[in-house]
Amino acid sequence: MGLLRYTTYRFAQAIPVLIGISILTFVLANLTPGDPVRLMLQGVEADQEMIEQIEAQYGLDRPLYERYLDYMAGLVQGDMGHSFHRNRSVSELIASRIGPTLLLVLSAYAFALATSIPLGIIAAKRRNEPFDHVSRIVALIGVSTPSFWIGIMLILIFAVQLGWLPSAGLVYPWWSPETYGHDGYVEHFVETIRHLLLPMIALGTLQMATLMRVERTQMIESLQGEYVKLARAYGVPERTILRKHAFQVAQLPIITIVGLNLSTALGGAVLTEFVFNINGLGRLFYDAIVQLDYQVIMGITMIIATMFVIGVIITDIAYAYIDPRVTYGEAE
Amino acid sequence: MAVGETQVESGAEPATKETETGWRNTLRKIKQDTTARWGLYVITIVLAITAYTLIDGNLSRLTFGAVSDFTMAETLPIFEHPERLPPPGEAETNLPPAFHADGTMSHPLGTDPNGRDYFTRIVYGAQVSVSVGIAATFLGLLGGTIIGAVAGYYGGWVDDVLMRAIETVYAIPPLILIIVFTVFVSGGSPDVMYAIVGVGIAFIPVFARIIRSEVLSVREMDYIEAARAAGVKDRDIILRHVIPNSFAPVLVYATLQIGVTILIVAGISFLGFGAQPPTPDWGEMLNTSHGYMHSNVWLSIWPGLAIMITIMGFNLFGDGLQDALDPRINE
Repeated sequence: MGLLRYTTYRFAQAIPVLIGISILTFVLANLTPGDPVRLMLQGVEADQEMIEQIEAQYGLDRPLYERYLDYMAGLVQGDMGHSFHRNRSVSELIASRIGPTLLLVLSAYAFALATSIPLGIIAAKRRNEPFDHVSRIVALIGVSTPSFWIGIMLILIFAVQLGWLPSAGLVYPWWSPETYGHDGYVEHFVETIRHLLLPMIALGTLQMATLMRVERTQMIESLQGEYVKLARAYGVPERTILRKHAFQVAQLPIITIVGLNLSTALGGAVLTEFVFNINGLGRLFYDAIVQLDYQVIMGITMIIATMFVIGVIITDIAYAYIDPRVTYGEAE
Repeated sequence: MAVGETQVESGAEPATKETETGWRNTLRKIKQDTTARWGLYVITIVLAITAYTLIDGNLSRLTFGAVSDFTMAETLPIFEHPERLPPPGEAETNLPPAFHADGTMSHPLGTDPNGRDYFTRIVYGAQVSVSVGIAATFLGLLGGTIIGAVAGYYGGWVDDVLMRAIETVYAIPPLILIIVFTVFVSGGSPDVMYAIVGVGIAFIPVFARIIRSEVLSVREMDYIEAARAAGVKDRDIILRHVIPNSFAPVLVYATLQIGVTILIVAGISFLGFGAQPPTPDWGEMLNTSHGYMHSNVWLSIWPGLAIMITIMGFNLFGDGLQDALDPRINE
């Protein structure tokens, strides 16, 4: 199978999963004790007539499977329903909020990769030396500390105590500098980074720690490989061995982990956006949950799961592209 | 489909043979491993505190909705009541910890905005935070073991259907799935008990996959063939032979997973969808203290430290256990 066919095949495989997700969220939202309307109307004086009227408006008086098929038909056309609380279409809402979340998650990944790979390699190279011990302790703390608490601590230190960085909100680079009253693109860029720094570290630390551990183990294993021994025997300089021979093979598991960890990163984005008051998907999800705005909740769940599934597929394809040993999809 | 297949491969590798060499051997290796030993110390202390708060009788939150009467036993004199508010007028609110110039020894970690002793609340916070983590992991382990064993043992369409369902659940990030589950199933008033079930469901996939891949090799064993030939029912084969022989790697994974579970549950409570005030829970305490970040820094520090130390204990122990069971490292 060629790479193109493998790509198509992997995307085709994702379709049943996406359908499954839509069923799962739909069932969860609709089989609740007290139907969605009653949930939405919590705290509102509503008589039976009003409830029936809303039910009819949302088609909730029809059987479940009919409503699901309707919902699916909408989904295919990009219609994810209507926000009861905000009186806007869910697709519109999501489109307006997805930018900050992507910015946050991608920069957290950039931070994690930029720190974990060099640190992991150095730790592997200096195995059981002080540097290795320190980096292992840092990694242990990283995987053991809640991201939101790291966020709170960062705010306390760098925003409240030192006053160096802002504690809330993001500056969107895709908006013009004038919107923020910035003096040209340099200031705009600097402000973007200043706002992004703390949430990025808060969300990225767990990823960094996980990747660092994997990188270290992989490099240690890779440096003990036969081909490295052979290269050494041929007198290849240690630098070249590290860079070329050991490094490449060790990166393969990293690719997989990057894809799978998207799940924690997307979940973590909800917490990070809450702590730093960022108006992204996570914050929208939180608000929708508090308001029991159930079509928004379903829409965001769908989108986030889809982002995860696509992320995993992309990393799978990257893996297959990089690793010559992979026979596309014929394993097992 | 292969969402996360590789993770299972790497997680499931060690220890099919280790069960045969015996648990005693494993225990010896854990004792020799510094990492695992330290993890064990931390876990023991945390579990002892949790156990104390459970039997102490002042507070039992692990009941559906019901709050117990606080009449059963006296607390140790070092503790105050973890939930009850001090009488108005007498409350010393937002006291800093004892080592601070304004602190007093009677409140070693200070007091919260309601004047309750923070040390007591941190200690009693272990009850919900830790036992929820353990209970939820156990639930996921139980569900995952059954589904994984059935899927692996029967194969064919049963396997296909179950695995597609598992992938679906796996595709939704746990935090999101648990919150959606908790809020909808509770009908809009979330509580810890719903969160436990939610976490259990969210973690079924990881356990099911590990068990399934183990079962795939176990089911080809001669003793399974023999049992089948002898006319033993499928259910008995799965329960008596397949599961016990596939269990070791999952157990290691479960230890590591307890840390992850506590982390996620803390996040859910922090957002306000888990433990509800006045319940002392580390995540919930961080939620409350979030509003006092500028006036009382200490409120945000202690619960986070408690979470970090607890999870570190489970991670250290899990890492050590993994090393002890990994044949590649113990050559």
